[in-house]
Amino acid sequence: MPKLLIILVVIVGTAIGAAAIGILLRHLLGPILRGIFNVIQFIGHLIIELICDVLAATWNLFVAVLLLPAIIGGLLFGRWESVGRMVRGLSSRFRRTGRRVAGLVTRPAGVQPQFKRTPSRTTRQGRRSGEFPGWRLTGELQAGGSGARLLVAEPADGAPDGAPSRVVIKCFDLSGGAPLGQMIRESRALDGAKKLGLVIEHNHDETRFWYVMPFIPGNHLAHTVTAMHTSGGQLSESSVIRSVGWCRDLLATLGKYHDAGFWHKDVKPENIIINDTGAHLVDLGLVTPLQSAMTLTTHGTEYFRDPELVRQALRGSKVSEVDGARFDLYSAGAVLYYMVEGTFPAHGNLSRFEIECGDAIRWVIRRAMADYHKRYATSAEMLADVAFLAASRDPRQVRPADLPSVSASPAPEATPPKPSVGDVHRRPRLEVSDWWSGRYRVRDAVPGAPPSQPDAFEAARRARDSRRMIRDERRQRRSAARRSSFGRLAAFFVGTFVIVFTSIFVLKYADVWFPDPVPMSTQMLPDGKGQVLIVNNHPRRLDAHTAVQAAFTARGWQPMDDIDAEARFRRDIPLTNGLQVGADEASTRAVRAVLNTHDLAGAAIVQASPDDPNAVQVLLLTGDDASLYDLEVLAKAAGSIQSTP
Amino acid sequence: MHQLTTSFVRRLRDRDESAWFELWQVFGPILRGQLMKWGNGRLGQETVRDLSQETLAALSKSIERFDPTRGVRFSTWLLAIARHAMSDEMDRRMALKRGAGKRPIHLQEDWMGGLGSAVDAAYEQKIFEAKVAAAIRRAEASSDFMSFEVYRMRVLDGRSGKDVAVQLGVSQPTISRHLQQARRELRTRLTEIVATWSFTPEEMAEAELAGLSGDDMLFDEALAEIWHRAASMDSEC
Repeated sequence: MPKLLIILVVIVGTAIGAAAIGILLRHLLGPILRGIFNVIQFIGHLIIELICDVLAATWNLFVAVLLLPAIIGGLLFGRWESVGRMVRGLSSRFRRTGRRVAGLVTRPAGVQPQFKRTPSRTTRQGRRSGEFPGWRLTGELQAGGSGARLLVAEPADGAPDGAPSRVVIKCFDLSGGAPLGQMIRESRALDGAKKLGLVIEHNHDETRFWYVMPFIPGNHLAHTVTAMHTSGGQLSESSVIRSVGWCRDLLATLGKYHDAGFWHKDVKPENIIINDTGAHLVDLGLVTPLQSAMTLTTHGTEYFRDPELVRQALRGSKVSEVDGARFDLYSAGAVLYYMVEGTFPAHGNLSRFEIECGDAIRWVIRRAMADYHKRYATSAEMLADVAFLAASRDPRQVRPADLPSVSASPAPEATPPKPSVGDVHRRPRLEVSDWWSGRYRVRDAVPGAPPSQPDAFEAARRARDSRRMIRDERRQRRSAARRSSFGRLAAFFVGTFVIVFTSIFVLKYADVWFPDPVPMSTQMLPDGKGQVLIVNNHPRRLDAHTAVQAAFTARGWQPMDDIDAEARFRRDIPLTNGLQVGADEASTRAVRAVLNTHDLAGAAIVQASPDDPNAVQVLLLTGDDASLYDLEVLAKAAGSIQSTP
Repeated sequence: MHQLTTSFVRRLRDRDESAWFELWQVFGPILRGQLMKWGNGRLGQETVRDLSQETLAALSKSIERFDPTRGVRFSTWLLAIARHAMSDEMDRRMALKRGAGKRPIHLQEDWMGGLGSAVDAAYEQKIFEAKVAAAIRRAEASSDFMSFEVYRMRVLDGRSGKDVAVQLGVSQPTISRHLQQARRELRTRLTEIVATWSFTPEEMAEAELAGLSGDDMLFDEALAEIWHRAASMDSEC
């Protein structure tokens, strides 16, 4: 029995030890090694960038020297414009110097800003199109395919009340080549956008037409999805959860459009902005009233546009003859496919799934992209399914049979169902499906209702998702950089080389840079060379004075007791344990002066050891040397000295 | 020749836009793949897209001269036009380089019969797979959503009947019933598509040779294999 117990204890101990080692490796050594690697890499980068900057600065200087005669000549001959150009070019070159290192040190780890600054130099054209009453331009976004400029601005004098701190101005300029057709189409869409509260104001003059929208910071979905799929292979659980959450936000926005009697018509990843508060649908260029009497057009983006829309448009159908909301739902399904697969649905509803995302998500995508008459009838119906997925702990584990649109019988009506009073007060029922893992399913969720979580929980979930997103993106960026960047590898080797070289250099010259003030001697006192002044500076060992005298006498010295000499010695030389004779030039000179004045061969300072206040050390100062001896060596040498406690 | 074929050609000649859109949907990916292959890395995605559109534009101009009774495959004729568009693009590029160039080749009816040996079997195989994919697409649009999803999960994704039943929360007999419905629809659409796009007896016999006229099990197996090949080919394009 005891043997069995011992074996059991050994097994348990081994398991615990292995687990502890595993935890240590995973949580302690791993981050430390990663940190060391990053530091080395950063040093390498810093050195490479520094070299580049120095080379650039040298080259700039060389160019400046070459241009100097030309500048002087230009000044002499009155070629002001040419001189100005050369000076501006040179100053621009010098301003750029140092940016590489500065950029390396100050580069933000998070999201890069999406907009570029407006050039301060304004041409006549730029100045004219840059003037918008009530707004001050601060930057410019990358233009889309509509031919309009997208300008970032702040409110100035004359801005409407309650205007946000940052806005986007979409400006069409006929003289700048903006197509008239697009201008007319967008101006028509403005009515709808204003009703939805998406446009702050709009205006026009002889050649320009512009409207102002709130600025939504963040990256567009295509960028985020690309980062999410950088590592290749399967999607992480957090990525799937985030994708479903963004789709829910998108559908909620589409629901607002449809309820207001409009459809967006251009739902695609580039028109969805992702930030900490979720997914936001932008670009009002194709917003159309659902009951418009206009003929349907094929505008939109391939792969995110329903083929049925093209067919109907080719047949010459009117907008009011089709249900535009269903085309938006097709696009929403295509966007969800894009988020999950990282690529566009080349085969429409028959596109294959290569990445594991669970049957329920696939079901939702296929239902949204199904034939026009078979897909979700309303955004509320699709939102109910997606909200159900978003509320689940792991959307990949949800079955299609659990989705509200499948489990509900009969199918929901075309209009979004309003929850009854009983529904509102009835809490969704949680049904534990796995007691071991704590997994659960939500039953009795009201279709179309928001996820069954209090707002605080929802906010916490969003915050957690946001943190996960940032962390995942950082990881993926790091892993992508590790895989693809030869420069980083080179930086690592350069950093390693520099660190090793610096370490060798420091070790080699450490003695020179940081000399030991007085080397401890473990040898016997040197043989007598003449008179030696004994100066007792030990606060607790007065008896040591006699003992030291005896030791010096034994080695042939002539100990001297001269009160004047000792007084002068104490006055000129600070008798502390840190006396820097040999290293400190002033102290050395002072010692020599005292010794010469009193015709002494040396001076012995009796002092306490820094480690032990009761121990006795003797610092022997000669004209050109200083040695430290401890009392035990002296005692051995004298043969009769005993230390007193 | 099947009546569907002749009526479809007539619709193309009548400038029926939905017929042209269907043509684009069925043959567009194949055309792009073939142009990409000929380009051998020298043509970008955008150029290939432009060339495929030019091919269709040239086709619309010469569709009047297409004679289905001469026993030439429509796909072969389409390939000839694509080659013409391609050579035109190459000549234009050379002209841009040298500042001069050759005169573009004119499209001639001789091409209809002169490319038989040049067209490789792989191209014809892809054309057939595109027809099957079009039939699946049409069956998906016309059949019940649940039935087609069951068929997709069970046959195209290769899941077991029990697993599909659990996922969809229905019994296995219900799964079998949905499978039967979807299969019936697929067979109908496949017959329709093959009849529409087949101009020669060899083309009519392709489905039978591929095992698509056998019993249910053989049909499912052959269809899944062709579908996966077609999907992977398109992802390569």
